[in-house]
Amino acid sequence: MSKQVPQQSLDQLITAAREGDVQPTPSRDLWAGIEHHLQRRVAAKPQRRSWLAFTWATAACLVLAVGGVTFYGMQSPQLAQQAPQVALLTMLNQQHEQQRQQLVTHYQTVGMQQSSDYVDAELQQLRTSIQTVSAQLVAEPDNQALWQLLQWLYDKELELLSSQFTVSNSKQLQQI
Amino acid sequence: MTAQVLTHNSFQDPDTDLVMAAANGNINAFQQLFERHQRKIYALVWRLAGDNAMAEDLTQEVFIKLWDVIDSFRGESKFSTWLHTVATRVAISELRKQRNWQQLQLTDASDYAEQLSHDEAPDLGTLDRLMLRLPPQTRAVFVLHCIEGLRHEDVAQELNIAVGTSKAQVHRARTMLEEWLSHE
Repeated sequence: MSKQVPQQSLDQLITAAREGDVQPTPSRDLWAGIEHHLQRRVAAKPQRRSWLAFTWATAACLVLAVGGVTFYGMQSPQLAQQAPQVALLTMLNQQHEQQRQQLVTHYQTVGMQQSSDYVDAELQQLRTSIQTVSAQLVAEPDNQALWQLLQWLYDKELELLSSQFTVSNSKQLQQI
Repeated sequence: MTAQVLTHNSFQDPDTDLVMAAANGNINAFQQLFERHQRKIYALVWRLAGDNAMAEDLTQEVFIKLWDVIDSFRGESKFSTWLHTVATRVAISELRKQRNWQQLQLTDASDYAEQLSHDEAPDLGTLDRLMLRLPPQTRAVFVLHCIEGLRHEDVAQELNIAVGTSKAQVHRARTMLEEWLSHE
């Protein structure tokens, strides 16, 4: 056989393979396994998005509140009337701090430990938000929206703190 | 941004609408993309892996990876071209972990074909049946350059070899295949 013949044959086979005329095919359905993986990932996404939405909502509230504070502050800078409200703010922050400490102490006393880095990060974010809103309230203590936002942040922090210990609790129960 | 680029090239690429839908989390659209491309992707990874079970696993791996990265497709090439690049990288990455690949990359054993037991599937085409006898790296270079149409520079980059090595491997593969064809 001349050398030309196998060369031509090989080129023809390569062309057929390129065009998909002849190609190996899978022996089983591959989609089922892929779909299983994808559905697990899709199911996991909304949880992340809800936290993302929560974070964005908090940030948006802060921006609105700061804008309101600035505007209202320019309208009526009556510093003399701020003292009682600043005292109220200090008292509320102290009360909230006590509630938070009592909650942590209570759970730790019965042997439960915080375990989630993710929730810790969320808690830290809430603490930062509380400090920011408090600072704005000192500058403009008559802003009702800010007071409401502060209360909402207090509630969220306690709620998140409790939920974290609740998760740990259920894990411990499962271990028992 | 992605949508604008995709729209720009949409008249050229029949996959554009499905890609955009899949990038937005639509699994049905993604399944249609899978149905369109799975045969060619399977053929590519089968030719690189040379094994049915591994090729099936790799094909699934490719499409799972594709789901993660599909929103990064910018429409700068046809989707099918881009998908083949993703598939090549996933397959090569997995094959690098295989013992055969590492051994043969170091030793480049010329008598590899003789070491194989040829329990080839009867439904394979002649070329695929003969390619099984090529050493893995030689086969990979041959598949990427001669069948997939990659330039030697791109083959060299994907396989982390020199351009000259890619050319030499193609020459070697052709010589071996022609030799085997002449005895068919």
